[in-house]
Amino acid sequence: MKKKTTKALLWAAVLVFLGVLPNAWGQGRKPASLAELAVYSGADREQLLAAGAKAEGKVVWYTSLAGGSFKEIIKAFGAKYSGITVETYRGSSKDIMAKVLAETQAKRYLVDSIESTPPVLKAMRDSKLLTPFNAPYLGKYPEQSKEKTGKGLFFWASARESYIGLAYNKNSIPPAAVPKSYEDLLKPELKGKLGFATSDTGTRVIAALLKFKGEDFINKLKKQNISLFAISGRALLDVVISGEVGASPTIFRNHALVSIEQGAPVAWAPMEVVPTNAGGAALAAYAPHPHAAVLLTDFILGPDGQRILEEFEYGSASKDYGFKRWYPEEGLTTEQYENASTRWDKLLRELGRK
Amino acid sequence: MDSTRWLFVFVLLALAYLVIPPLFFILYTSFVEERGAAAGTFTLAHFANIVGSLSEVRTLLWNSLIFSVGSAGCALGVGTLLAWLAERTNAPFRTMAYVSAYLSFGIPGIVKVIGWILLFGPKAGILNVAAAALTGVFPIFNLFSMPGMILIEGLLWTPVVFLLMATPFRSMDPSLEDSAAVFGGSGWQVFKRVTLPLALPSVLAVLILTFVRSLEAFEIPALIGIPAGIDVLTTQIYLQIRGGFLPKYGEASAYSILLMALVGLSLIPYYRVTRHTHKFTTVTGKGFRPRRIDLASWRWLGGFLLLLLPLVQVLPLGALMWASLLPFAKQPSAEALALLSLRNYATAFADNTIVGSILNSLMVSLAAATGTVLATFVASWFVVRTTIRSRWTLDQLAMVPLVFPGIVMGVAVLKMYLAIPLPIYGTIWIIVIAFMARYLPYGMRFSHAGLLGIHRELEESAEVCGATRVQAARNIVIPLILPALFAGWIYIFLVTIRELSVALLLYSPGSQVISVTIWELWENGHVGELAAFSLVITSGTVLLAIIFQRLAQRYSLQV
Repeated sequence: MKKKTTKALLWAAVLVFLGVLPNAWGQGRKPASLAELAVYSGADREQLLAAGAKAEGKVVWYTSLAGGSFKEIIKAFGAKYSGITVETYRGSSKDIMAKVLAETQAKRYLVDSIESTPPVLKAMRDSKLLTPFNAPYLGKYPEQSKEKTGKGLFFWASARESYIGLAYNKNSIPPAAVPKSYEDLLKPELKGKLGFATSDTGTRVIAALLKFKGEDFINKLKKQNISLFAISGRALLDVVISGEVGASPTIFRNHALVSIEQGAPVAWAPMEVVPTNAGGAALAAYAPHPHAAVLLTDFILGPDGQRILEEFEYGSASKDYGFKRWYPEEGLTTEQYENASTRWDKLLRELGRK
Repeated sequence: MDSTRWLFVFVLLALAYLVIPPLFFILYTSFVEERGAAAGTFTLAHFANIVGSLSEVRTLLWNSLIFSVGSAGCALGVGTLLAWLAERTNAPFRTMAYVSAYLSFGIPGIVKVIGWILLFGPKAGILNVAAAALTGVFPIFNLFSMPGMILIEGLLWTPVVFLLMATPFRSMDPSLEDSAAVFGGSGWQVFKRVTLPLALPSVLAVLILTFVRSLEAFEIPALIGIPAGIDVLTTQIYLQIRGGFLPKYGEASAYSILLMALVGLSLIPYYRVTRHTHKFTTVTGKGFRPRRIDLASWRWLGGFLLLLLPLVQVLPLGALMWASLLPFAKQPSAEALALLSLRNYATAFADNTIVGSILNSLMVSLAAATGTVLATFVASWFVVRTTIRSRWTLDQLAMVPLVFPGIVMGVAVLKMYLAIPLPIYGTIWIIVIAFMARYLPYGMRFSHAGLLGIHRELEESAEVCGATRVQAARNIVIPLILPALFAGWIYIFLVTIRELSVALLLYSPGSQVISVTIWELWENGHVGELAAFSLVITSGTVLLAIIFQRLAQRYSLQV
């Protein structure tokens, strides 16, 4: 009797165990692959990612952010999640594009998370190099600032906007000569004092000049003896601060505002249209450190990263700053953008040629 | 096949692997469609594109030639004058000139260029602004111009010319000049008919060498030429890859081939000249010290000119020192003095990427120098010591990279490792391999010269006593040749640790080297941090140069 009861109990236990087990697996099974992690919406998303990221030990981030902001993000990320090294490649969107294409061709995927401009992100999307994602905080983002996949997920979300306008050195440009519009760049007082960045910042200003002022205007501008600088818009601002260049229409508002706060003798003014770089954050399709990749992307788009970017005076798609924004890539496919961009680059090079 | 043959085949394959695929990939890339449905098919479009804008190619060629001829002429003129002053006259400050010329090897080119920009930027350069206060002329010198580029490139090569020209001046037999004087030749006639023809082969060789080096130069064209609107071939190659939305490797390769052809053509007369140098032997077994000309009251002018050599090293470093202590660029003033701090040093060295790049550079240069020296030693041993019929191929293979300017080697190696399945893209090893390929000719020259200096008799006696070929090489040749190999190793180590153009297209996050970090900091506008980092690095590399120089002296090496 006793034996029978024991046997029955054993059987019952086995049955219960077998019945419960799959259920328990179902509930407890944690996302592990990049695609799963990217869309995981459990309350423990952050803990799960942080624990996984710590085990992975590092994250590789490509960004077009310049100046102090990206270093601040790395620092804050490191302070919040210890034990994860952030390896960064900071470059213009042209640099990042070249890097990503090279990695794809070599099938050696290094990048985990990307922060760059829409042309790069679109090209990556077209080549299936991005992982769609979603996260609770994205609910607060305005619809137009997210690139939808069509299945409730997103390829990227706009982490910040930067506005390209004119910065000038108050000591070298007399108040009467300060340009209020692109037309004013032709003022004789500005001859020999203007500089352009050759990074995509400069290219996008040429795009605006071409669209709103025409090619003839660019030819007239050439007579102003423009200097080109193969450096980022941020670095060119330093050149304006030093007085080496009097004024440049290829300077980001946020960089200028940060320097003005520090007492640099410069001012920033929007032209009649403001070429705008919307910097989107995205996940690489073959991120070698999936947990860390999602964690860093979350960090940038979440409250911590956004606070830092605001401190560095980056703009947001949902705010009005009193000037007219223009997105050069809007409505263009990657191929059309490439062709247009080649033409802008050429015009820019010719603008500086002596 | 005996072990010697196996070793021969192995070295042959190793050299071929380093040299031939990059050459192939440059050619291949220039002739195939890059993107779209036709990707991989044959095309002449890349060449058509660059020739299509004929005026542009003409401008590029013209700029490249003016820049190179100008820089070579400038370096040769100044360097030769200084070498003559140091060796053949009684001008003071000779030792200082020598020390600074040696130490200049330790200072990375990009560091000096940035220093000069801080000094002579046309609108805010420290010296330009200071000179304006004194003379009322502004700017007194516009660095962002062709003369500016030429002057700085010329100054970069002056120490090299100085050292190269000092040797023939030192070893010139004064009896030749004396006999001319005895026969009634005036000072000028002696110089024209005797001294100049004697020095001519060296002068020509040095001229061509600096010409080719300037043709391949990247730092100055990129940092000064681009803002000045003056494009040369090297910057055009770089801009094809990094200047547009998508990289144009096809056009970059087509321009590369144009540049390689130019370099190749220039090297032909170089070899013509240097091949016949024995005809102009000025070094003999006779012991003599060339007569020093008494400059009398001009002595101090000579001394002042010799001081230029240390001055042009110290000035740009001084500008960097000033920039490294300031939060943003500012002219020296009481107000600026109040802002001085060591903050930039702290920020620079708190950055993991920056510190990591030092370790990467040490690792890369150590590996590249060791690998190159080992490979070229074995190769030159085969060339000099064996009778294997095809041994000349080793010599030829090792010389091919001479036509690869740094930036072209970067493009070639990049394309190669993007295409073949060896996973070294994104690691430091791709930079090591590119450096090894690029510096093979230099390694070869050092070990070749070293081996020629060791007489065969020594190995033959070992072989007579029963040693095998390899044993003789190991026990006799290697110990004797070590100093020469060490000299080659030092040279390659010092050159690669400051090299920018090869690494610029090959680095990835985590594999930055020193020069690339400086480039990134410049591009991103962190001049203060850049200055702080550059000065620390320069102190390090100069220290290394001193140690190596000491070692070289102790073992009486030619570095």
